[in-house]
Amino acid sequence: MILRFRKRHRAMWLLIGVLLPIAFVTALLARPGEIETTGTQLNPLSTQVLKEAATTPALDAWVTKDDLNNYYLEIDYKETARHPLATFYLGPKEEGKLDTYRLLGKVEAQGRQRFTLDSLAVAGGRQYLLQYDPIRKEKIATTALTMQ
Amino acid sequence: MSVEYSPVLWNRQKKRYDLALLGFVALYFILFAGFHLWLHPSTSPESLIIRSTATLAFLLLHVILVIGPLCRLNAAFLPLLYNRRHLGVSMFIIALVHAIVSLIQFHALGDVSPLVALFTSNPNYDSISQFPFQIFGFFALLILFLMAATSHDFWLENLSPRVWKALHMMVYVAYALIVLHVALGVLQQEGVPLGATLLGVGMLVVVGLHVTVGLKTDTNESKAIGNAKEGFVPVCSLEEIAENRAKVVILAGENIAIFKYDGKLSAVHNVCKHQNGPLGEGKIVDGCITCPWHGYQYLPENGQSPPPFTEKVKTYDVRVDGGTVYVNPKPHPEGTKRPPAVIA
Repeated sequence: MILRFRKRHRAMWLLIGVLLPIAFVTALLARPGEIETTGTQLNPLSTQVLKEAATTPALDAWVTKDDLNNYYLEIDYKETARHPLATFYLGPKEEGKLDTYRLLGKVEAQGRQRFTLDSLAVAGGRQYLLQYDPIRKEKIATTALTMQ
Repeated sequence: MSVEYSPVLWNRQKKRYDLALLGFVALYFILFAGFHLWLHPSTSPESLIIRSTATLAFLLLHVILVIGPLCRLNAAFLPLLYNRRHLGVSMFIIALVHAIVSLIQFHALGDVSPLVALFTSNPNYDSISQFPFQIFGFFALLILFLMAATSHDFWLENLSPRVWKALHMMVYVAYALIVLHVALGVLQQEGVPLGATLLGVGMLVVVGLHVTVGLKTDTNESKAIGNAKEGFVPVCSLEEIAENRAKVVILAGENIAIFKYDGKLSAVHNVCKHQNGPLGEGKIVDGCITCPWHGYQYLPENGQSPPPFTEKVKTYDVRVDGGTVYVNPKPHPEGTKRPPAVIA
């Protein structure tokens, strides 16, 4: 390289060598971490817990019932969701085609969510909660639920 | 312009290199798809294409960026330098596939143009973890496009070597943009420790090699100038220069290549007139200094291309005394004949 380019090359790499690691570390530190939950007690006015359906590092789930005998699956999602398109499905088998699962609803980024259950699902004993990305067509996780 | 090489054409060496590159690309796609589907069986074809092309293009960019400094540390890497342009264009094509499929997958279903959506669908410009990282990839791809589109010698001749080289040095900016694209993109969303580690190691290798080689040449220059005698600077011992090869030194800010051939030493400016290639990393072929990039040739005594070619480079005076090689850093005009130093 001629002198001018050599100087420019050196200056660019010294600049990149300083700034890029800073940007890299900043990006690593900014990654979304786990959100601290404020306990697992459900709102006593809304529902009563029938069954603790699952307790995993990622989520806790309960089968609940309100005063009108409507059944719900309440999910406390303990991690910040990293899949913005993830959706909850409920099905009787751990592995199976998506059309054998029942759509519950979209996974919110964090916090507690409630989904309506039909009586068949409650009576089904063991059910499986599938987190699925319908756009990427990817299974994210499956959690076994004890419904009764 | 050459006797031994076919410049910028697909000679036998380039064809073999391109075949090896094609084989590597195919093997990478097969292995990536195999491992990915094994770990994530329900991955869609679109996701597979996006991920495999992204990782392969980024890997190839790392290889491209380390070839230059590696050649300055060890001549064994020179064949890679000779073929770097094809590697660069291949990398751009793979990156382009990644960009097009991503644009269709994530931005084509809205009511605005996908390119507009790329800049407007995510307005979190004030957040680090939610930053619209795609724009870094867009601008990096723009730079890579300009480089790939002007990679042919037609553009080199029309833009002039200086402008061409300045444009192609933008690859460093593209690299920085792609690191940001990855760090604020996939590392934020999927949180895979392996990905962060690989990115960090890759960055360390690329930046480390470039900075090390840059600082090393500076140090060598300072030492040499400090020992100047009667205008001649001791630069190395005779044994350091292999037969029909060169030793490159930097004196008074200029790169000088000292060639050893037929019991003689001659020194010329290290920069080829064709594309600013490093003459000192080439060798003597048929009595001519031959540029490792595209085979442009110069006579060592006068820095002139053999007739009918007209390229000329600057020449320098050389001496040998007690096994030490001395060079006068004052250049002679391009094409000036200087008597070679005879090795006793």
